[in-house]
Amino acid sequence: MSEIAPSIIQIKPYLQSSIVLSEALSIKQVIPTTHMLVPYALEKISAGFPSPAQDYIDKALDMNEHLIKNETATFIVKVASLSMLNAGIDIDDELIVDRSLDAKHGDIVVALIDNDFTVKRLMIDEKGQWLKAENPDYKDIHLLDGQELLIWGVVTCIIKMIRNS
Amino acid sequence: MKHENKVFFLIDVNNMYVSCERVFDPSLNDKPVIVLSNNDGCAVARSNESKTLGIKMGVPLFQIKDIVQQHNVIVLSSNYAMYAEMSRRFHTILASYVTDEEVEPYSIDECFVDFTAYEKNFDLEKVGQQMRQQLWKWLGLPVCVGIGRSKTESKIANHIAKKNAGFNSVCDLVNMDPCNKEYYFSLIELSEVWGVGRKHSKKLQSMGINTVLDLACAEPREMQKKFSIVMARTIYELQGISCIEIEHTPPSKKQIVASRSFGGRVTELNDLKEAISMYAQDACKRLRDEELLCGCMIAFVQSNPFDQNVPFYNKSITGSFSEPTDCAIDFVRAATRMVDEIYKEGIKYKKCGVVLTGLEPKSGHTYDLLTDFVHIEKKECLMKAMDGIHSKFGKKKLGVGPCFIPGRNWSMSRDKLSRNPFIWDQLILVK
Repeated sequence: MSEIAPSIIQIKPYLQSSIVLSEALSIKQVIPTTHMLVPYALEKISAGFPSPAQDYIDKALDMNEHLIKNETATFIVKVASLSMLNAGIDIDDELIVDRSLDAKHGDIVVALIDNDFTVKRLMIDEKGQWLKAENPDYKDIHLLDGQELLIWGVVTCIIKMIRNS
Repeated sequence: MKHENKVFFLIDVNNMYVSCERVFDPSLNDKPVIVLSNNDGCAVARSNESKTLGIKMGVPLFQIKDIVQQHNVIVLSSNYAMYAEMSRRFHTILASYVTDEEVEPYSIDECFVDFTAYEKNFDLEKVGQQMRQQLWKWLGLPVCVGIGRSKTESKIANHIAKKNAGFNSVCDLVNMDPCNKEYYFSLIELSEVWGVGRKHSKKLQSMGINTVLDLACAEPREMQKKFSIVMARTIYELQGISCIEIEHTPPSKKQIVASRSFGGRVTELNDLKEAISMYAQDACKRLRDEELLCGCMIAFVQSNPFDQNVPFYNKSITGSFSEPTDCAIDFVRAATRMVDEIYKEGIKYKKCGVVLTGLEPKSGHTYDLLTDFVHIEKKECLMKAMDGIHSKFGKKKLGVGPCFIPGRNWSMSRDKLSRNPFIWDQLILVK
């Protein structure tokens, strides 16, 4: 124990003088095990006599449980275009994608066209499947001959940070 | 021990690492791809297209440079963090088919499932197809499923499913016509049998046993005399008599190895000490996760075995602790001292590492009379604080010595590392 202290002091100026600590930036893995529980009130607190605390804190809000129905098949992707702006999907929004769901007409999906990722609204009509952009500046995607549409997953939720910290 | 009516599934991801990469980078589809080992040394995973080009498993990159250039083979560094998460999901999905006692994650890309209890109620091949389709839809991973009366048989079935497209990736040996089964067994070489090594293959061949069918027809008790009980079990298993049970609790660790090769060549003693102090801390972390104590440590250094111009230098040294420990400071102190002993000037080192052995459960350790408990208590407090910092801020924030500062001379090189889509700032981008 006592032998270590001096060496830490030697390291400190060394650390300060050298190299950007890029690798040391905090990174978090998306494994939906919950760390943060938000307690919420079951009863409204009425004016006058509040009930004792343990009576109205019953269950904690679990964001993972709320947003992710099937952890094993869920992936999170980041948006890099404005093509779905009118559906409320902006650049840098994060999408929760559930691959276990079967895509229906009208679902917003992450799809593969010519091995490229795209997020669009899936349309199924008499002409077959096509992808609708939710922004007039972007073209819908109708399949050309020989082109294949692969549904990668169904978008279930948009995570939108509205206050930049 | 022996059962004749068991049913085992073996589910195996095709070209695991390449398949994982393709899930998140579809531009890799239909192209020859290889994934390299640590430090971009050898090919450890190959797509089917690369296999067709003749790239062999484990071959060093420099030996296949020509093929890689000529055929535009895509070369990737191994992204173990991502593969591990995909593997976790793969095993979780398969575990949902049975109870926890009936599933054995055998490796990162292989899983045994004991389906005996449900055989009567299900069409086995349909279950296999369902597993395959679910894994493909949920995770994007292509798998093959082998079904047999024993684990060894399910392995063979998996091999048959892989090699014969007609099976549609699922082979059920339990319900296969015996004549067909014999036919397929007669096509497969001995080296494909689980537990039969190359050495045994040679000896078996000298006895006229060349195929799986020959081995399955051998007399187990005779073979036990000539080989061992293991060979007899393998033969029973091939005959559809299960001798090897599902192991759902992984056996406790006998040793912990932490080693890696360097990005560049390392010649200085100080660099070696830095590197080994990091591996000692990695090993310590794993030791603490398993709640074990370590009594004995081996340190080793190596030059590049592929370099034909200089003799291969490979030296190791063993030391034991006066008191079994799980304290990073003890390990770093011991490891750096040991490197002092085995360092020789003028060698270009390629690799170093530590092995922790003499492991015992921490809860079961009896301290002797003269133990300085105050000292042990102090070390434990320090380690708890370090563990806490590591789990909260990442393991590179605090360490013993300067080894976690990025860009050290010996740092690993992974030039072609793909993104890890399970990390916030490396998510897949969609347009």
